[in-house]
Amino acid sequence: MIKKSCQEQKSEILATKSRKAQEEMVGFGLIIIIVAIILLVFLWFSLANQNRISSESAEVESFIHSLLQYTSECEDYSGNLAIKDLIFYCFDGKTCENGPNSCEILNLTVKEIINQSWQIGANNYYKGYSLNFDLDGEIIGFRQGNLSGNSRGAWEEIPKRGKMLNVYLSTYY
Amino acid sequence: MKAQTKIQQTAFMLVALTLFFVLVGMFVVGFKFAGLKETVTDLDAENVRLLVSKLANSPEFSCEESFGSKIYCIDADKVMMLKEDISSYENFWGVANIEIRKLYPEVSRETICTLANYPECNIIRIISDEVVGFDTSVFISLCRKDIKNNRFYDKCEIAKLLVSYEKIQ
Repeated sequence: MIKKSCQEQKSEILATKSRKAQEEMVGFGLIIIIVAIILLVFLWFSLANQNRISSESAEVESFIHSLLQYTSECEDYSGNLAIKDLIFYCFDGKTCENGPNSCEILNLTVKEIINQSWQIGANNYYKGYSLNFDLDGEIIGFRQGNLSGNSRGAWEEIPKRGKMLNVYLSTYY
Repeated sequence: MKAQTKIQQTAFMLVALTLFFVLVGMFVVGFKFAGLKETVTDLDAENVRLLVSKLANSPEFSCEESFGSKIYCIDADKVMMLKEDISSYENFWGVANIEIRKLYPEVSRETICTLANYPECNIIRIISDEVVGFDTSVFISLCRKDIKNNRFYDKCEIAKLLVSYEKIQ
């Protein structure tokens, strides 16, 4: 009887010890999980602060402004047209006073300006671009290179004669 | 004896935990301070980017009403005159170099603008201290008054306004 109770006592002590060890392990695990969560939150905040999108798209925005103000070779009665006016000319299907088709000049000039300004290519930093002139749903588009991956963009609205011209430019890198 | 072991266990656990948290803290602090210098440089770069945009639209450079109040538009004639009197603007903008580089129409040979060769040139160096550092740029319309068939007209070309600043050592 005494032997039995001793054995019971032993097994009880062992059971208590193992339960305590389990509790300690669970506690330690909890601490590690909490610390890991804190580290992850910290890491997330650190990485989230590293965005430079706004400043980079300022470059694209400035390019759109400059492009639209460029003085083209197309002339009307008042003189040479800016690209901004040439786009409306092209949408209206008009011909320049000095001869050439407005859309041809627009096409050629815009492509040359972009190639000169952004140096798009598979081995360059900028891999591709997409530029759209959207006049109430009617679109003149320019595309070149690889249009996947990260992009930076900007857009500009130009109201004229009750219509709205939207200019979108995205550069891919 | 049992109580002593328990106290010892607790003490060891506390020491281990303290060490663990100290290490985590050191990692966090190290991570934060490692990027401090870069952050300062990045902030400077950001300031210069803002400055470039501000410069392009400042009265000393901008087209204002002469070319129909455009933004990101620089009056080339005005800038050429400013270049001649740049000593009055010493440290005014707090940057090392200010340069305007014409991009389109393309020129066959790079030529620095002077009053003698203007406008048949493509680089206007406004401030040039030849400082090695970072530069930042924005696209601009470089506009001037030109003459064709005895008539003046506004000619705007595509250019870049580049500003350099010294790297923090």
